[in-house]
Amino acid sequence: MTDEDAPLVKTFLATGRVEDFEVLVERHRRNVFRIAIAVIGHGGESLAEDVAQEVFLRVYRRLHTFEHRSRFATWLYRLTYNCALDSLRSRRARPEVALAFVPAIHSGTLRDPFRDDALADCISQLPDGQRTAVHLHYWLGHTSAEIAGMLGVQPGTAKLWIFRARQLLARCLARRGVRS
Amino acid sequence: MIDDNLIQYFRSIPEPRLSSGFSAQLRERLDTARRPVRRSPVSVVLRLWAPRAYWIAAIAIGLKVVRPPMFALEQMAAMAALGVVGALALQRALRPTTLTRILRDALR
Repeated sequence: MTDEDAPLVKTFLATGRVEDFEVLVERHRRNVFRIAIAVIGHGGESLAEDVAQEVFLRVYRRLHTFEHRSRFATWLYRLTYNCALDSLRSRRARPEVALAFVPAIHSGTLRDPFRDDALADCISQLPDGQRTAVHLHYWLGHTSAEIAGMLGVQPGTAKLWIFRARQLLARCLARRGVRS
Repeated sequence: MIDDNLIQYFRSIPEPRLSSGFSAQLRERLDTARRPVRRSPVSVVLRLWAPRAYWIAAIAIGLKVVRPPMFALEQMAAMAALGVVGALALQRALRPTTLTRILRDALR
């Protein structure tokens, strides 16, 4: 298993230069943001950006604790996933700053707003891993293999999460009287 | 089909993107994180002596309240001075080591 970030991590640990660290940021900021928004969901773009910033700051301060047991990206993405979950939970625990519900844009297509709202609600009730996998797959267009790499799980697990999520969503919609 | 529903639903939601100021803002925060916190000399003295003054006053008040009759004022003063020296020595001995600082940073 080769880690293409390893030389850069070593250089940054030796020099401590922000410029070296910024190369790592450039390389991974898109995926870090995508994981954060996949955990938080639609309407949480600003929070996801905060999470991404916080993750990079933490990595900057604590890179010396990285033990090279996994690839740097795996470690970074796992940290992102945990940080995003923490942010989401603390946000949910404070209803006064809860995420604003942003309805989907229905213009241009013959969409059923009732079905879309029910679907959005059902998605928000999925377990964390499944909800994140659904967002990464259907919203952000990642394959199961990419999702597995981003969330640090086996490709089979990512596939299973999406499969289970589809089953739960179908059941949830049926309970609400929406035909899927 | 739930699969089609999901595809159509997410097609109607714009793909999220990082704001253009992300890198600049992060750069600023990294610079701040790197820069050591500078404190004014007054603040340094205050931070050092405020807790000391608190304990000196507390000990002095305690001694005044429960002063045993057999000690003369000079003896009390000597004991208070000894107490201060002892407290300073204790404070120095309990100062966080490098290991403590590393563990504290790791937990932060």
